Amino acid sequence: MKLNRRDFIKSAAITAAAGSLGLASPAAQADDIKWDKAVCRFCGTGCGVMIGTKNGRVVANKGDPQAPVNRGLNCIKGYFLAKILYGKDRLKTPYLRKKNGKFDKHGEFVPISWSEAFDIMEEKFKDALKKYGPNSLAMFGSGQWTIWEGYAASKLYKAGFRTNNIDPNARHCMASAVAGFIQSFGIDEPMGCYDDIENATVFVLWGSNMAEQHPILWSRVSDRKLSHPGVKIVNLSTFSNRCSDLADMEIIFKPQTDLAILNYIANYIISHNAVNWDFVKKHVAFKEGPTDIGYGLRASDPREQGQLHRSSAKKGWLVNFNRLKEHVSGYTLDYVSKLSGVPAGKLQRLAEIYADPNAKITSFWTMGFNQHTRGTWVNELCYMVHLLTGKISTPGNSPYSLTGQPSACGTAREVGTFAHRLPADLVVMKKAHRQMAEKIWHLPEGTIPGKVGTHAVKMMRWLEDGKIKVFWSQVANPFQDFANLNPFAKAAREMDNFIIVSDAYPTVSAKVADLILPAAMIYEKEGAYGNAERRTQFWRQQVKAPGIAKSDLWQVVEFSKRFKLKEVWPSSLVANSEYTPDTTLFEVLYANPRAKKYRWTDPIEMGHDNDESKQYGFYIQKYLWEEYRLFGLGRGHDLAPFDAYHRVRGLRWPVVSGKETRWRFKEGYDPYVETGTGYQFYGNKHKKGIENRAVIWVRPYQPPTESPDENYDMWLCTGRVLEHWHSGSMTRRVPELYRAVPYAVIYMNPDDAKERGLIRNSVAVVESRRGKVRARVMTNGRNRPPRGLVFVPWFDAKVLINKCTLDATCPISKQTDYKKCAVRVYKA
Amino acid sequence: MNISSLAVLYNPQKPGVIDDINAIKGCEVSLSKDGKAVVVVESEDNDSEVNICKRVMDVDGVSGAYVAYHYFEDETIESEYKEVL
Repeated sequence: MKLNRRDFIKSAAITAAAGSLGLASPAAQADDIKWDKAVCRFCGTGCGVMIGTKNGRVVANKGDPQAPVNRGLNCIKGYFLAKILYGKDRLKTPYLRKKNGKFDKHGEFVPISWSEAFDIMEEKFKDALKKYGPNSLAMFGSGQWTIWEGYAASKLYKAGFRTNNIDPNARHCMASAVAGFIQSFGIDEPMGCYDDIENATVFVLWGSNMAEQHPILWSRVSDRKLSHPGVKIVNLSTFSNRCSDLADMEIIFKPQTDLAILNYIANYIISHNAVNWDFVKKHVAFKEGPTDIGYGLRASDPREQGQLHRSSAKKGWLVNFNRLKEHVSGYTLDYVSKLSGVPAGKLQRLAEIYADPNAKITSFWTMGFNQHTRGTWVNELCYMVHLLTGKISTPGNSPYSLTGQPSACGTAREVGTFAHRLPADLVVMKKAHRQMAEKIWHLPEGTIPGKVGTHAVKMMRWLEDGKIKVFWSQVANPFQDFANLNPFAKAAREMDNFIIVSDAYPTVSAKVADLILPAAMIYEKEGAYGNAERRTQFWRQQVKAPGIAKSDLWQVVEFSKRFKLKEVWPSSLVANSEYTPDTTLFEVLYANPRAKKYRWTDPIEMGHDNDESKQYGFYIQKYLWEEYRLFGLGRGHDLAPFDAYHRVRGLRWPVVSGKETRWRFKEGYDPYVETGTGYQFYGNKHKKGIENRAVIWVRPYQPPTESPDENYDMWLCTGRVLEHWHSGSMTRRVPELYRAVPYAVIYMNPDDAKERGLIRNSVAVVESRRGKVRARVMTNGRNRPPRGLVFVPWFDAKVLINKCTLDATCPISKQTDYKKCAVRVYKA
Repeated sequence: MNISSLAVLYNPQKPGVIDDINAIKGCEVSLSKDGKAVVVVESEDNDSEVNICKRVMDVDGVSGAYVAYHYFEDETIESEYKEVL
């Protein structure tokens, strides 16, 4: 029998792989596994997967052959996509620190019930609200929240508790991309889509190790290159990585000099008459802004002194083309070659590629650009190069920011779970925007505060300053993720505050918490993610969560029952509302008459479980979705009705009249562009002086916040590796992966190692002004740094490299620079 | 019982690629044509799927190995993460 079953599974496995390769194979017999479509849990690529269940357990997964993103393939992370649900140390019940039967910050973790968990949370929230006001509360969310989880949390904080102190971990990965889009185009997210890959003739990677971090997209790039002679790849990075194996040209530059290289390319384009004047004259405007904007450090830091535009860094004024021309003329080949350490010939070749009118160029970037103290600038400068040549918004011509998290776009950005945002690019600072949200949410005018909340980095600083009293984190691992984390973790453990961590596993952050809430994981709930090509994808609940673990949605919604309006809103606000002082936030925000119209059950569920809707008696995810999409309709952010996404493999917004949009801003592709205009950058439609134009920003090179010196003589760059995703809280639970890359290593140049008496596998200390870690040295691995730079991945809880990193941020985007700080490395 | 399949892209001009993949313990090339191969990976002891996949990726002439199908019935992961509770 067993042999038969084995053969049977093998034949299914062969059929799946053959299908994805377009090879003929004997058809597999129907199996006894129940399959349903879903989305991968890991990076921002958004691969479609099929999840196979049997007897209430996930037993198999395969690449979804119908998914346009990945066409039946998964990267190596396909090996733990579903296994991650079944780690032995899954959290199955809430845990509270207790001593003598009572909560005590210095007590031991004791399992408790949900009602006891909510009791202590209620006490702490109400106490903080009463004594310190709503801004003593903070929530740290995630680009891994499902769309409705982020939406529900945002409602609870912004409308319920009336604080904008909610910010996602996407602040650490996408904020500079967002700021770049808003500053240049007035609307967030890429104009192109993955179809650019099959249309481009040149791929330029800027600080993006796609081969390891986006392997499925890299497979499409590889396929394009190998099947189309003449297609080129240029890999720009501060150290040699796996992308270089396929690249035609590798450019290793000194950290931060990407700013200068892009200015040189613009200089070349202008001085070699390669400007696409027809495009530029019709569709581009020019702006310049202040340069004394600081480094996002605390105001007391000496490096912030004399930086007069720290808090108005994003300001700008209109200039003309000649100003840009004059500015970039200083970025000569000689100067930039010396500054960047890149041979002049290579720089010139790169500039020639961008200047070639026949080349269709897709520039990909991820954290190399975004985690940068001038992250917004460097995003803008890449747009400058594409806009000068008109290489934008058409198939193959794409400046393309890739995302690292599965719903950094769908949840963090589109729902707007940032301290300053509301859904569909609305912002809390604008009264009209708040009013729109209040109308959709059926709230009295003035409910949503107009003051921007604390962004993620400031949240941690405020924890340290004693201003944040209750901190709740969901689907994130903040006490491993934040740069310069020593003081923050100490504040969380020792000061007068209450730390709640919702997670599926006992992560570093769970250890730091006072209360741990057990979370249901991806296929244990109904969900939706939005990937890096504006594709929104849904999945149904496949299995039940273990123990009494519950989804983040349930945690937020259930907790809202504990608050009556009179406890959270001033009486004048309640009086202006359609509610009574005793109405609960649950009834206002979630279980209102509009919600109850979405009945449970619903045929679109096809008989699947939905634990939340079953409990509440209405289809809560559908209600939240249908309400959420009201924000974007007719405003360039149109999403389709709920049921549509359960029927297809995702749709790329704006979805107008049932049709998705592949290239935005280009007539013929984007329904928002008026006939006869060619292009319209309609994010700026109503902005005086730049109506329907994209903006080229005049931005200089500026040195990094901290550079190597005699005491700390090397650059530290941090990042991810292929086998582990983010902080490793999921992937480090799969033993074979653990063995494959068991611990983080220090990737180092062999000459630097030799100079320090180190050889491969020696234990060394990496030390900065802020902290130190020990790890083993790797001198011949997949990442090969030049002299003077070490690369250390951050997935390993035992090598908390963020003790060393510096919490300097881009002053515009508030995103931390995890790629550059000064360290010394010595033998342990 | 862990059974998975890999979709492998390789250079068909390079001799011996298929033999090299077949030589990896636990690997069996089921189909191959025009630089595309289907490899079945079996591992009874839940120990080596990922390492096998990485070894396939490292075979000279292989340009990519992707997970197409993964079956892992009756398996609970032994976490090596330090327990905190």
